[in-house]
Amino acid sequence: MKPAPPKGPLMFLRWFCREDYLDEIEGDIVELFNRQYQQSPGKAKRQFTWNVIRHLRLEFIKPFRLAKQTNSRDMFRTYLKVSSRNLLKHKFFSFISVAGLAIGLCVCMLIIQYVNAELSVDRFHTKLDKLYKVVNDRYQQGSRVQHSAMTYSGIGKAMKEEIPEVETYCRVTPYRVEVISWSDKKIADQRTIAVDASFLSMFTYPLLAGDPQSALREPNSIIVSEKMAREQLGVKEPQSLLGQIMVFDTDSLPYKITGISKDIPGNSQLHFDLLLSYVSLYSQSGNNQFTQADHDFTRPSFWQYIQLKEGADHKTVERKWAGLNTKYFPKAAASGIREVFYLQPLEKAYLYSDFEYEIGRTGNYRIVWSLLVIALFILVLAWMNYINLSTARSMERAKEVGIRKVTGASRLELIKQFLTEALLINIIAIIIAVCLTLLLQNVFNELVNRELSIGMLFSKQTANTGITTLFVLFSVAGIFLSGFYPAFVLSAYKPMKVLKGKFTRSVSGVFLRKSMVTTQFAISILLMIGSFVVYRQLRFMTSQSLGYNMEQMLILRKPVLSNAGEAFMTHADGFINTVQQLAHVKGAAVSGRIPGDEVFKINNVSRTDIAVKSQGTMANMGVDLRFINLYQMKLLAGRNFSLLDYNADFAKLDNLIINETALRQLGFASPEEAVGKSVMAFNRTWEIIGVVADFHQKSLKSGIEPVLLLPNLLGRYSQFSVKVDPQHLPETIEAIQKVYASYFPGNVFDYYFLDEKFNRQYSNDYLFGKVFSLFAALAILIACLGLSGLSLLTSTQRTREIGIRKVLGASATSIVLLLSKDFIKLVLLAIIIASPVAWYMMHLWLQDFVYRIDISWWIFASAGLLSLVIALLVIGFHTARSAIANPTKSLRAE
Amino acid sequence: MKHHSLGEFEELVLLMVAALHDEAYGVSIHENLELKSSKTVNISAIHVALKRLEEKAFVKSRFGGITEDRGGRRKKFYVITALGKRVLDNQYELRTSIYNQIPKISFSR
Repeated sequence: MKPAPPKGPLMFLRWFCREDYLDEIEGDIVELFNRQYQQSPGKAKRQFTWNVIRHLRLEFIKPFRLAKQTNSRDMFRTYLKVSSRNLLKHKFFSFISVAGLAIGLCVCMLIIQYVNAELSVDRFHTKLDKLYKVVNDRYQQGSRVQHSAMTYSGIGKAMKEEIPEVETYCRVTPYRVEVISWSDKKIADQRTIAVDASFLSMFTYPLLAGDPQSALREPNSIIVSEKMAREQLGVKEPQSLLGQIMVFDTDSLPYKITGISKDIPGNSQLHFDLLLSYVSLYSQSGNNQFTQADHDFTRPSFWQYIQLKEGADHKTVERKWAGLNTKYFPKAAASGIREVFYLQPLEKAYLYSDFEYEIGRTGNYRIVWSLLVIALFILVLAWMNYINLSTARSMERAKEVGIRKVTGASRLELIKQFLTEALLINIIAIIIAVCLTLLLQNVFNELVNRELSIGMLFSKQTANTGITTLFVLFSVAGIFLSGFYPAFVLSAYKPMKVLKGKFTRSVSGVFLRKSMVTTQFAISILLMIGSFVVYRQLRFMTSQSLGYNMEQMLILRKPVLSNAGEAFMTHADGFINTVQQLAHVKGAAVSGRIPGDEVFKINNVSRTDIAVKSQGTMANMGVDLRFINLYQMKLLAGRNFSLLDYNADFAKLDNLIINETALRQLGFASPEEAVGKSVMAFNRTWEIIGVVADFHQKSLKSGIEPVLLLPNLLGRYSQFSVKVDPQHLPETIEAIQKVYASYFPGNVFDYYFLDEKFNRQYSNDYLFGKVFSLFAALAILIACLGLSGLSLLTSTQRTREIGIRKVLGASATSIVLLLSKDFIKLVLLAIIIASPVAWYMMHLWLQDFVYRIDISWWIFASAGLLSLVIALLVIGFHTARSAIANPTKSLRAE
Repeated sequence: MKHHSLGEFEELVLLMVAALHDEAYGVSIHENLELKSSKTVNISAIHVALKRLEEKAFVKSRFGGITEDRGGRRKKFYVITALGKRVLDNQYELRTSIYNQIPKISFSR
């Protein structure tokens, strides 16, 4: 039997190859195939396929020759001319199509920018795939008391020693410098972190000057960021700082500048002005503040990063470490404590974190992905709209198509014509969309609180290529699909029927258009329900009683140019007393933390009067004796602090106040029972002098924590809260400023309203809500455009029917009802489709919050009703016009 | 004729067409070229070269009979035209004249 060449490639060749060349080409490669087949059939087949592919050249391809014959450029010019005339002739329709598409594309571009920025965070680290963050859960008697991004200083080092997969580790810890002296300048407000020498090799923060290998090896060496050098130190050539000395006011020690880091990219989760060598924390030449900083397993105040070896799996490391836990926490099991360590891939650290004490701002993957989906929805809506409108207009254009066909246009040419038209509309829409995006950029940046730009989509550093490609591909596909459908429908008309006037509409197209209207409305309703729920949840959270009153509360920034300790205490006391005397000031207090602040926890808080069982991990904050009254917190039992409770020496404090949750955790039956009892904390005994009602230290996303209030006024970290009368704000602030300047000369007077800052914890959710409702409005708008096109179409189609009905005595109302009935059905169907999807989506979103609303039925009902009303208005507008029209007019035409 | 230029590969193919006189068609040219130059040549390249040569009127073609070996397709035979021959001659002359200019001393050791 003769060997047969592979069928597929052969058919492909016959498909694309010019007829007159086929004899030669096919003949030759079949002959070659036959010759080679003797030696090796497999190779012959491969060679055959390859030969076919290699013949895929312009010279041999069929249509190219055809195109050459029919002067395609001239034809295209004609298409373009006809299309633009058509667009200009039907200005209203063109405007609606272009506007819909432009708005859709613009929104999509803005959203993609945001999504891109969120997805690119920390992606610039070249060792990203090997870097992990050690995070830590702490369980007490089986329940989780800590879920922290910060952990113990010893863990990374121990992991490296015990587990071979770990290449190296790096600890990062915030370091409070307060004020730096450099030449004759004093600089406050820098972000300083202490990091291991491995920091620069693990993370990609390149140096402008200095040796990355050795820059952080020696105690008391620091690296200054380019930004700080330029902006705060005022140095034009940052390199010149190398080798210079800075003095930290906290310890009066000299620190040597061993490096200048390049500007930190905006999409870095970690930001710093100063990098301090980690060894400074505990070395003898350093300030020796943290003697335990190198090998501690009790104080979780370090961010830990580890780098795994090539190909190592982080789950293995987690498992291996779990086996070692008892070695490092020997007493844990006896006291009912369990420490679990996880390795979180650095690429997930930004978007997927739900940990306390994060190193920087975090994002929310749910928001990012849902925004992306919504953006694509909007685009799809816009294209559907275009399809709807252009097919709805097909009645008018049927005659045009008929005449074109009669005069000899082929179907292919008609399709080309309509595609050109779609392309023209899309191109205009894209241009307008880009202009709109540029115009709205600043507003949008403010809304989302990011520095975004169009260029970001294409810059290597910030772009997530996958998303950008997806967007571009999606847009191109959408443009062609949206152009192709109308082209296909319009070009299919039979010229004889159309020109004879016997033209009736096909049913299949109606179904498609109806389903598109349903989809449009379903999406709109989905978004509407979404924004209702988001706003209800936000309203709920901001109206919920927090356990204290923070209205009209001004927070003054702590004075940094002042020595810690006793001097500050007397100053602060004097300041508060003077401020309280001012008119329109209702009260003032000083405290280590204010509501909304992250509060640090201590482990091993226990009762002294019973067995060790009830150990607890509790938050602690230092407050003064005015704090509880100022914030109108409820004292359930015992007394408030008095002057006698305070001491400048932390070691001598021995009274504290607890909240209800701490009370329950310690196992007291009632507030009264707890008062007078003692607890162990910070390794010494404290007497409980009072119990306050629970209060929300943080947003309602998280639950209430057990809190110890300490009469701690060391003052270094303290902030002033001043309650003011909003009626006389400007003069009150001015007066406070004067007092501030007299007590803390040289400090910057800076203030803000507490409720604003507190509510900033919800900023991501507010953004979500705003974008959601904006999109809901847009979606409704676009859906209405589509609906209006469709209802216009039906009413013109049924003009005769309406005329006859009117002549026979039908009222205008009954006709409007008749015409609207079909559309109302569609909207009702959309409600039924959208509701369960919306319920599920919002249910997921609400999981972020510990305190959340129930999704009640009336949210669905009102979203449905609203869309129904809008739809009725749109339909009514068109149908009423034809219902009112004089029937003689429509009938006379016959 | 406008195009009197001749690419390197085209020249090889044209030479082969001339050499195979009356027996020159795609596969035979391919076979002999591979044999002489001991390099692999793709058949499509030969087809492209032949099309261009024909366009420039350096070769002309005729169809042969149908053979079983070719899946029922005819062979297309090529012969060199007088113009093609002249171009080859010119090319040859040019090359030899330049070749002859190479000073002998430079390579004598």
